[in-house]
Amino acid sequence: MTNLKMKSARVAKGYSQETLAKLIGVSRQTIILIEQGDYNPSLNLCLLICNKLDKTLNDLFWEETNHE
Amino acid sequence: MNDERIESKLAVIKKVIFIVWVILSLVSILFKAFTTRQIPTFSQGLADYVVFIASFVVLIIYLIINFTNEMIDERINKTIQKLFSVAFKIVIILAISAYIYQIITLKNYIVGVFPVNSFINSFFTITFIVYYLYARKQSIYFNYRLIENDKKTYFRGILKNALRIILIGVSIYLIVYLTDLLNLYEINALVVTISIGISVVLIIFEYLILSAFEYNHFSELLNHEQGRTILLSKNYLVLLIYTSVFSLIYFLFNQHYFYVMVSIIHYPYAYINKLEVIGKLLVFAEFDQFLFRIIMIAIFYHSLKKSLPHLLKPLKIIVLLQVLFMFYSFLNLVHMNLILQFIVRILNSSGFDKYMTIVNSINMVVQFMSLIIPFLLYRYFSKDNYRFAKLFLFLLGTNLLYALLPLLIHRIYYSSLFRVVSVILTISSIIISLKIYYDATKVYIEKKPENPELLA
Repeated sequence: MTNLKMKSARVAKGYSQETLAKLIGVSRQTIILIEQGDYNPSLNLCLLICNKLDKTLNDLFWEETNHE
Repeated sequence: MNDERIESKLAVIKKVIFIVWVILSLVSILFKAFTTRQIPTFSQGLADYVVFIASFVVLIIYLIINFTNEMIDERINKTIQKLFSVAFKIVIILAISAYIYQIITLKNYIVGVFPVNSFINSFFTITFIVYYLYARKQSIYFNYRLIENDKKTYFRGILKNALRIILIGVSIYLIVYLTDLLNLYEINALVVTISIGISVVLIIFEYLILSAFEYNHFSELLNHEQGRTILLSKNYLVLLIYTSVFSLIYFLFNQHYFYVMVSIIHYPYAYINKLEVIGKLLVFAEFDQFLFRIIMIAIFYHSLKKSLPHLLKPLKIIVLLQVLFMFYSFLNLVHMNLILQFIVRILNSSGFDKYMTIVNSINMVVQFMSLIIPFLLYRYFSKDNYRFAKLFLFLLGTNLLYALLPLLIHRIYYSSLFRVVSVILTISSIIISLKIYYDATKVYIEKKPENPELLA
């Protein structure tokens, strides 16, 4: 599932995928894959992303489950 | 850069490579045993033995780690990653060292039917190809440390790596000549020069192609994300140029070899002997070419599937036919270079004549049938009115003439006219193909991105 929350947080912060990748120390493709929902980052990487985008884990990576 | 995704994916790729190495080395040992009719000596196959044993041991260790731990957690995964990473480097160093030993101690360049460096060349070629294909599958790049730089920095880094390969080649030369100087072994200078020279050139060439490939792939991926999809990947053109140059050399060599064989009495034995060695090297390289052709078909399919999704059905038919005809020509090459020498021994002269007449007739029929591919390509690209589509008709024309040639000038099959016309037709069809696919890589299909406001 596409991670639009992370994409919009990144754009709101004024970062390109390349900039964010450089800030965290990963490849640009890793950021692309996380945003596309094709790669499940480790907790460590999630924390780094949240830290750089000034967001919490809940803001970016928590998926609401529909119990209805 | 310490990217956790890349680290974990590299372990997956290396695991596959170890499996491939076990299979490759085992096949090579069996093949050498079969063609020389004895168990290969260390001089004939030390690199094969070393790669087989080392890769097998690594895979066994991996299986032990896997089966002795009920839960494969992050910590175990890290251990596996480290195992593959270290073992990968060790096996490559061991393979090169064993190869040095082989060229120092072996006196004959040919082992069975293939040259002494055939294993090390296949080892690197197949490693490059498997690495590239699996890296693509796992969404990483072989040159992942360089790929995100600008074009100039990227290619400067690639050239530095190529220089490192040359240095390794030069070091091997020095080690080999040192053993000669110290009278440890008496080396065959020609064997050493040809073996190391060809291996280094081949490895650098493959590395440069792979790097150009990755650069094109990455920039096309970024363009695609921004709504500009290239009609046919530039990588197809890169491989087409490579395979075309090789095909032309192979074709011209065969023409010359045929000419020499027809008037064999005018040539010294040493010259004919040299031609035979070059011929064997080219046949070996021709087997390599099939791997590149498989990759070309895969690029062709994936590229057009992305750029022209509305024409998927005709594309699948074209690709299926391409695969079938390529498989046939592969069988033909295996038949001509490996099977035929056994058939010659079994059949008498008239039986062999009949056998070859049947084989040639089947080849001719298949050659005519293969003309359907340029025709289908013409129809495929005409549907969206691409200007270069018409050139497929010219390609069809030259291929048709080439197929008809033996029938048209059957009586003068051995004549110079036949040779000249076939050279002209081959060069024409290569030029037309290059022109078509060059034009195809210049076309971009513009699409609006799904979330333009969120684009990088």
